[in-house]
Amino acid sequence: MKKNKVCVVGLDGATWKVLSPLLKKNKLPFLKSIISGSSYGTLLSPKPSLSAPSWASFMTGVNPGKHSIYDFMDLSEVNNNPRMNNSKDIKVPRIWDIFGKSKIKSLIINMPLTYPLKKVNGVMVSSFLTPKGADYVYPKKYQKLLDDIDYDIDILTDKKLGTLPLKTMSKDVRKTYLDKIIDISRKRLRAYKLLNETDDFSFSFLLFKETDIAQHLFWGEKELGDYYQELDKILKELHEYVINKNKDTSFVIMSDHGFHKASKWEFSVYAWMKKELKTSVKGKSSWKVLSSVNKKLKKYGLSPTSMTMVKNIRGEILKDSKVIFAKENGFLVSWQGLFNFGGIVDQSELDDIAKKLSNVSYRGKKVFKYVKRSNDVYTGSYVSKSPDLVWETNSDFAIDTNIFTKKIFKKRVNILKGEHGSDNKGVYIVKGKDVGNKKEKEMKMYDMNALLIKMMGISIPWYSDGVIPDFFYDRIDIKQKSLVENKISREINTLSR
Amino acid sequence: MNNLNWKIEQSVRVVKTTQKYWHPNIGIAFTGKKDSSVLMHLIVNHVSKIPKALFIDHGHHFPETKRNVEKVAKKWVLDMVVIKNDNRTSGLSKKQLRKQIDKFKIEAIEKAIKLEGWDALYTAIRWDEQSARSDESYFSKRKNGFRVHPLLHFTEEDIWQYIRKNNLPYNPLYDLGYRSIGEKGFTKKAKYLQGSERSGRDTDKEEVMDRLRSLGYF
Repeated sequence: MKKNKVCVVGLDGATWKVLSPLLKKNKLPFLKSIISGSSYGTLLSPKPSLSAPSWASFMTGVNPGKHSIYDFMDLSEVNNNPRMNNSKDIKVPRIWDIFGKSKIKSLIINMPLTYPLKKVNGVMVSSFLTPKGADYVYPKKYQKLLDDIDYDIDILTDKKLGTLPLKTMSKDVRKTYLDKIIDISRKRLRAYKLLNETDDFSFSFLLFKETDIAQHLFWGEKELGDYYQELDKILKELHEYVINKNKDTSFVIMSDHGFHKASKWEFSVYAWMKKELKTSVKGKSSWKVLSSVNKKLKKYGLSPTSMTMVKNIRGEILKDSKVIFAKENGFLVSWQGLFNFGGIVDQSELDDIAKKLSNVSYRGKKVFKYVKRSNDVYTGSYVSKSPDLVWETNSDFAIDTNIFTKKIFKKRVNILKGEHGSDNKGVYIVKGKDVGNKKEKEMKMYDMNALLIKMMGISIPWYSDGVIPDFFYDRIDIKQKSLVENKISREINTLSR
Repeated sequence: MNNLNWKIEQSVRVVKTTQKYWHPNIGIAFTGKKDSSVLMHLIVNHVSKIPKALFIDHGHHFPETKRNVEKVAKKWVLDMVVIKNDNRTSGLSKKQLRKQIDKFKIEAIEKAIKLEGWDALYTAIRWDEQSARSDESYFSKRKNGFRVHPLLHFTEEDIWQYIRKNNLPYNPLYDLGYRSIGEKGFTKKAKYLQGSERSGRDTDKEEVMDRLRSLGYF
């Protein structure tokens, strides 16, 4: 039997907001050509609109309540200390595990949350959050191939640049960053080609995380277009390579979340709570936690101040030893026993808090798109790990997580130009066998997982949240068709006698 | 036409034939589990008057199963026939309890058919779910009328695709790792990518399924 072949290209944070204007100006000739004859539209990430839960849903086909990943950072189940999530924390088999069971070989490059590397039927290259000096290719024998091309796992591990810029960038610095992310993207293509020659892979995945970096740094600026034009050439070369190897390979381009211009205003949950709920702040413990986070990040070669998640890890004692924990990317959280403060917000208060927050507005604009109880958003065994309240802000607002802020609203000082906490609308472009030509339909990240499993010709597992999209032609088994139709006809005839 | 739509079309053929021959003397066995939700939705959408729904309350359902039955009954305004188990179960060994539940289910089906005067009873069994069901007919003649099985050709994947595409309510235990839901105390969570669909079910029951079915069980 002829094996199905699928190549998936991830463009972290890619959005039609960026792609459409560039396509209209004919700046992305390859993407334009691939869209023609494909099914494409908006790919909705799970809540929150962050890479970690979204890629975990891509890998597993389930919502965060089942795979247990809500952010790159989490709290230890043992002592509630902050810790980084890793590959061991995803509680559901990955798509390549399913393929491996069917003897399908996979090549996976740069998928987040794949460190520490696990055995895979194929080859895997881990992604950022791989500690310095650790093995990043499975099987290890292929790591030398990437070492020889000076492969960068991530821009954050670059010796010179180290982190995303914390100050306004000069023209020279902007160019340095742009050149670097173009260089990293080219190396990803080289890595793909080198590793692809080591075996006959039926399923392959390559993530360009540089799209996310470029959008954070250059949103609304010329350099973003420059990067995408270079990326278009890289994608063209990748597609030619894949099709030359096997002309029947299906080609998928997709992203994990949307993106938007950095917010104008900051809304302080703490200041609001102080006013509305008469809470008080005892911040000492928060700094203790922050210090613990910094230590963790250093272990991974990351500068604490470069990561927005650091700002997220701040707690507050609310009322009578009740804990509210705010996270910047759309979360108001109460965690049982967090930091051993010894209490949680009374569940009965949460509906009231959600209702009040939903109505908060500033200068005629509502702060939140929605504020919901977690049970209304997630399903599964790990819903208890999720925040009690889940929210998404309108893109004009970000959450100020500094527990000492006195003003409820303040103007935001933006260093990064773009962000994605308020935009879950990613993109998908699917071209290949049994795929129709439909435009602008929405599908969910779990659906993408289900689609890819079907494109590889196997059954979707029972626990999947995914739905096969309408544009995929799920073929009828001719043998079964004849058997069922004839049997029903025969039985109906018998009844009529 | 794609695979699932074709399968739905075949199931509708079976439903329409059933309605033609036996309406209004038809019942639907409703267990509150995934397959019966699909069957119920399919029937609700293709008949002018929804037949009465039989729920066998043997006393050992998970609370989630009963809540789902109530939810679905409310959603589709079902006329429910509930046969309740009044037998004492305290002091029984697990094996004795298993036997008692199975016996009660068979008696409950017989009782409901007699009570309601049904000539045909829809059930949501599938060929691929259990070996004892792999030779089943769409219209199966029994001593007390017909059992009708519109979903025989559906697979486990088809059932979940149907539920998700139509946004049907389902038992939340599935999201907690139960792949096939039986009685409380006789059902375990499934392991991912391992075992068959009913691998979490009580093995004693699975082994005697052929015998149970010959006595009138689904």
